[in-house]
Formats: sequence, C-alpha cells, structure tokens
Amino acid sequence: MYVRANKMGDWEKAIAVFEEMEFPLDCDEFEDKIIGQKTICLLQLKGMNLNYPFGMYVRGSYSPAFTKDYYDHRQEFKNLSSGASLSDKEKVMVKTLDNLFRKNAPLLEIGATYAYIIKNTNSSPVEAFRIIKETKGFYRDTQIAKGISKAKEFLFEPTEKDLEWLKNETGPLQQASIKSMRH
Amino acid sequence: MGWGGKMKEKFLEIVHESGNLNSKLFSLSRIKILWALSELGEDGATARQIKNGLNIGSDGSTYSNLNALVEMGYLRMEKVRFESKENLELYVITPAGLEEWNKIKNWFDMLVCEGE
Repeated sequence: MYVRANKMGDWEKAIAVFEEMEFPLDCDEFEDKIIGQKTICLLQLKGMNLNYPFGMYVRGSYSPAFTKDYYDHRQEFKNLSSGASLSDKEKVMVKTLDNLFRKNAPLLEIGATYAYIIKNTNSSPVEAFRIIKETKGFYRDTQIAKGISKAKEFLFEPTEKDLEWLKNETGPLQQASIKSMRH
Repeated sequence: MGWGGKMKEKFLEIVHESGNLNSKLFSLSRIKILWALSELGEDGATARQIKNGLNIGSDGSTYSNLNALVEMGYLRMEKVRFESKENLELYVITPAGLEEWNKIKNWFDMLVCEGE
C-alpha cells in the first residue's frame, strides 16, 4: 500500500474555520494573513487536525504550506466557499478562540508565537516570555501580557488541582471582601 | 589523484565560483535578511519584524541594510496597513534576490563540503 509521507494541509477545513469566524481571508491584506496564520496555529496546538506544519520564522510561528494554500485558493478563502464543515466540538473550539482574541492581529501574533515556543521547544514560560519580549518588542507591554494571557486561557485548561489551589488562595480574600461589604 | 590533488581542484573551483557572487552581500545582517525572507515568499516581513526577529541592532542599521538590498534589486518594499492606522514597511524577496541567495547557499555548501 502506498502511504504518503507528508500529508497536505487541509485548506478546505481551514476555510470552514474562517466561515465559522465570519472572517473572509484576503491574501492581499497583510493583517488578514496574520490573523489567518495564527488562528490555524493556535487551533492545531489545541488539537484540531488541519495538517499544516508550523515552524518559527522571522514572523513568529508560521506555515509556508498554509501560505501556499491561501495564495493557490485565494478566491475560496475570500468567498469562504469550500463545502467542508466542522464537528460541533470543533465549532466550539473556534468560537472560544474567536471570543478570546476577537481577530486582534497583535494579540494573535503574540499568543500563537508564545504558545508555539512553549509546546514545541523545551523553553520554560520565563524563557518563552523573554523570547517574545525580544522578538515582538515592538508591541506594547500590555499587548504582550494580554496576548500571552489569552493563549494560556485558550490552551492550558486548569486541572482540578489548579482549581483547588486557586480556591484556597483566593478564598480568604473573597471572605474578607464579603465581610467588608457588610460593614 | 591524491588528497592534495582533490584539495587543489576544489580550491580552484571555490575561488572561481566566488567570482559569481555579489561581494556587497557579504555582511552578516544582509545574509540573515536574505535567508529569513527567502522562506517567506510573497508574504515577506515588516522592517520591525526583521529588526527584532533577526536581532540586527539599531533602526539605522536595519534600514541601511534593507535599503541597500532594495537598491540592488533583491528586495521590494511596499507599505501595508495594520490596526487600521499604521503604515508598516513590508519587505519581500524578489526573484533576483532568491537567485542570489541560492548562489550564496551553494557557495557555502562548497566550502562546507571542502572541509569534510
């Protein structure tokens, strides 16, 4: 049996993602391409199967294979016409991401690059933060903090243990706050 | 032919090939810029991404190298809108730039193979 060594990226499914976001990607628009690239990167890091190889480039996390697809199928990406569809679980994933980042290109660029570094290199969060500060230093500190925070919220769901720890940490503060409101 | 003969043959070939290269490209910053942009095709990268991502140094050094590469015909610059207000400078490698980059890469390959 012949098995393809490198599976092609699923550009039709990528269009279905953008359809769910109501985001027509125009490959003549610089900002659209950032939003598109980083959205696909984050969804793949979350586990959605789109088969695009990503790597670190001067633009941050980036896939030349995906670039080729949005140029080769520019009309389909612009008109959001592919015929592919997403599962309900995938639709929820896309909506969650879109509600967090709201197609904000700087936050997506920061968030996707940070997440890619954490998941694909052996960098610690501190080291990843340092790399972001260095390579994306043209963004404001508040944008960097927000982008990283949103990536964490999207990708790293708290475990039961994390939630228990949070309850213990914030419980006394909440109680004190309630008490102070009574006076 | 002995080792000395092969070495001499390669030496002559490397020297000969170097005559086909543009010596103005041989600065670390220019080589890093061509390398980084050769992988991005039509998407290119902005001046600020190039400066920060490649750790080139000051704005002055970044722009002087980018402008030199534009003047040589290896890059083209266009203004792009970002966050509905800014006009960023985007640099894209040209076919001539890609060709020159491939020549440099091949020459480096010859140097590395010669040392093995």
